Amino acid sequence: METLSTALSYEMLFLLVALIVMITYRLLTRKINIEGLLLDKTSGRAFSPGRLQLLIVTLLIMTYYVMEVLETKNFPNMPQSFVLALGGSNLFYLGGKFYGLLASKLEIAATRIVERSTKTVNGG
Amino acid sequence: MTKYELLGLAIGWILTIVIGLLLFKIVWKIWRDEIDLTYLISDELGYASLSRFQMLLFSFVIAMSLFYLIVLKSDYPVLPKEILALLGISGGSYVLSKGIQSSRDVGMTEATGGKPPKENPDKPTHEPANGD
Repeated sequence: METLSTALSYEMLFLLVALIVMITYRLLTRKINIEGLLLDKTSGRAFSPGRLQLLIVTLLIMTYYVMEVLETKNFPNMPQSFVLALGGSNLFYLGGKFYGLLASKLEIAATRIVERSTKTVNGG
Repeated sequence: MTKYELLGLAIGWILTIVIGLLLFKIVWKIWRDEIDLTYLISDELGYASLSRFQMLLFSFVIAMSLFYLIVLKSDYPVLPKEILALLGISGGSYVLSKGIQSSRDVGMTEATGGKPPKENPDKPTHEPANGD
């Protein structure tokens, strides 16, 4: 029975390591598309600080988590402030995205109003 | 060893071998580019999505920690609620982000008179589409 569980754990280790290595390698060599990771897509193509802060917070929390697991040899009890920080960070990112959506909808509405008034002036 | 224990062992080995073959096949296909991962973290427009990237990072980290702890303690550890909250926030953010994106796409389609927005390429390309 012990041989069986050892074989199964090697299988899982193989899968996880192989996936992590292949995906990391492809991300680094850009074989996995990372174009526009930090660009705002809803309201133009500018660099987005909201995305950058979310990426930094994610990486920081991830690093803390890995270090805690290795140190305590248990799932860490994440401080409440970390969870709040991630939640706030995501909220900020989504807020930016929602603002972009709202801006583009307002722009569309404004264009329509201008078109209609042009037609009315031209006697259409 | 009783016959039931023997049966359990046989089923265990069969499952281990089948799972092992499946895993090997998946990894082999990814290695040979038969499973294309180019757009693993991209959205429908071909741009990289930060929410998907975040999900990918958290999934890998938690999967590796879970594996490490199971091997170390030979027992399934209890997941603290904070970890579930992290995954939940990440997943929720991804879903909301997708909702905002599709709402924007619908608006763009309506604005262009039923035609798909210009940014939306017929099939994903490695180059981001020109949005003007």
